Amino acid sequence: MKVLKKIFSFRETTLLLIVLIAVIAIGSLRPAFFSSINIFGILYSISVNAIILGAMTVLFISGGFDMAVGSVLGLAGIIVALLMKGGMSIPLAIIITLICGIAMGAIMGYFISYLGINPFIVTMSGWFVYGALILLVAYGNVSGFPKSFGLLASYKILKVPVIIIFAILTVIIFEVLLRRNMFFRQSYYMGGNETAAQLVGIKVKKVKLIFYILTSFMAAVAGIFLTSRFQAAYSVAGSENAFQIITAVIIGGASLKGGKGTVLGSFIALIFVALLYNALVLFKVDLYWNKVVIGLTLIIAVFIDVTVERRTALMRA
Amino acid sequence: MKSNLRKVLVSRELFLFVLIIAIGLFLYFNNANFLTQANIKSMTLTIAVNSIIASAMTILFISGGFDLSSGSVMAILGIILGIMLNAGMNVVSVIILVLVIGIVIGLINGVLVTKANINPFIVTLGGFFLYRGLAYAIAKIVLGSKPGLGTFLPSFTDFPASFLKIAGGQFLKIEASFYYMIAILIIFGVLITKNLFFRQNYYIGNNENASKLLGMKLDRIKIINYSLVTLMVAVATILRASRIQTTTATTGETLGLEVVAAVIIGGASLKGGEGSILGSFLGIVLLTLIFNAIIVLEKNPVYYEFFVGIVLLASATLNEYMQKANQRKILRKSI
Repeated sequence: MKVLKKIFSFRETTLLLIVLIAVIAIGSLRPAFFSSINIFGILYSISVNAIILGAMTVLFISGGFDMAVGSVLGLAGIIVALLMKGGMSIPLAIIITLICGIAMGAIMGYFISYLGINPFIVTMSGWFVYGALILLVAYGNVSGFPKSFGLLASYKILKVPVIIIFAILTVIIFEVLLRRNMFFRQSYYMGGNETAAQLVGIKVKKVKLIFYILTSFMAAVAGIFLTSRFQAAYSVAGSENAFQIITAVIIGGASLKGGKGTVLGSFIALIFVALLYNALVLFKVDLYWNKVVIGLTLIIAVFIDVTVERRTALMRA
Repeated sequence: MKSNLRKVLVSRELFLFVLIIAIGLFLYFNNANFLTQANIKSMTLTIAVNSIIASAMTILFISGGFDLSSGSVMAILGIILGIMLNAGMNVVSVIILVLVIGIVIGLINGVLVTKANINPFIVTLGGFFLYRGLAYAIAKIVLGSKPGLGTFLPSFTDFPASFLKIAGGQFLKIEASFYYMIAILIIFGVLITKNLFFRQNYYIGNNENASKLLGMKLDRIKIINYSLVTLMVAVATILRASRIQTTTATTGETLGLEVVAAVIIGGASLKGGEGSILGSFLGIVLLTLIFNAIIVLEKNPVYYEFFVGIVLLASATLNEYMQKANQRKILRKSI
């Protein structure tokens, strides 16, 4: 009995249970759920978000927030496509795109960390500015680059596409880093009490900047993979991802204030969010309800998070 | 010379005014279309609609609040308005209902922020998606049932003549929405400077704990602020629908960002305690001019989002810089 209580004290277990219930519920009502097309579809969409998930979780734990990842993702996809279409070699195009991703994150991180501007405002500006750049740099969707680029995402190792393997590896690496690596564990201290962290010797401003750069970098990576998978860069790519990821990170246990959360929790929550979207498709719900779902799950997730936090604080007192 | 420059910068409103005149002149000399009646008319409506919302938003910002969802609320209110008017409901009842629904949405926002303690960015970000989705979804449910047209237009037209009279007329060659705007701006301006109840917002924004100790009913005031913003969105929706005779689920895609940007351009800080109705109004005028410039110069309209984002960031940075400079000044004086 005690063991059971201990296992359930972890949020991850509750989340895993919810995911299982969801799978059973959806699967029994719509057997099409278990078809390989559907499963792979879910895996693909989870993969794109999972690549960014680890970095976003670390950022949230440190007290940060980033709304612009969707636009960074989309813009990176467009940039890599344009470069290749212009004749640049694939490796060089990828490297330059990644550098752009780093730059995009560095700009936002600088305003937030060193100039002290509210991260919501800065990343909201980023969301709109980078988003506008997507449409300004390329007129609509970009395609027509070498087919070999598509292999990046779809080359199969043991029947599993590279993108899925890469995504899972990313999640595992970030989870391990967050548990073992001192640099990443600083995020917990920064999120818990920034002043105290500063006094203990953590270079808060520098570390924060690095976390923002890392998040945008991973978003750029995801954008490159997405372009590879579709063999085209779409101007709408990434528009909903940011909020799916943010919702997943919050459901997964990382609160907006920071100081807590795990990559594993975020990942399981991400699976749940993906299942939710898949359910909308399987039940043939109108596309317009997607936005309603994003909005509602975001508010409900934070609501639950805040209420649970209040209850635990009251219980402790 | 340097002190003159400083004087202009110190008065945010004056700086904005000069900027607006500058852009206006630039447009005048660069394009014949700028001062045409049609152009001025369309700018007037946009400025009226946006600044009505921005004045309530200023008060919300002063108290330390935030609302990104204005555009989506306008969309859903517009759809509800369209449905009811097309269904033949009595115009007065429709207006009252739309205003009430507007207040309710604000109440929900306010309660979630104050009682459930959820970050206002998240609440209104959620609302941004939620209400936009609902606008499309409800429009589809109501319109999709009509057979025929292949492409789906989520909009409503054919409003009764009595409704169109609300904002359809003009006085002295200036359209009605302008006068509504002036009235509302003056009311809010007077309230926030003279009225004791509304002045509490400055205290709350500056120091919440002290305000609580002074006996101010924080939650109530904040909820009122959120409701006021959405109420103004409802008013703006009605005026706009009456003037352009259509409502659609796609309205206000950038409205939330524009209003927030304008309020910050006008001098409001996100932390609260600062803000001016005049500044926000000038911010709206500035942004509308920028949009107009982009259209009139025939550039890609996407540039607008780009510039609003940049101006927002620049203003927020400037505000932060000035706040820190002020604090240093106060510290130096106290020593």
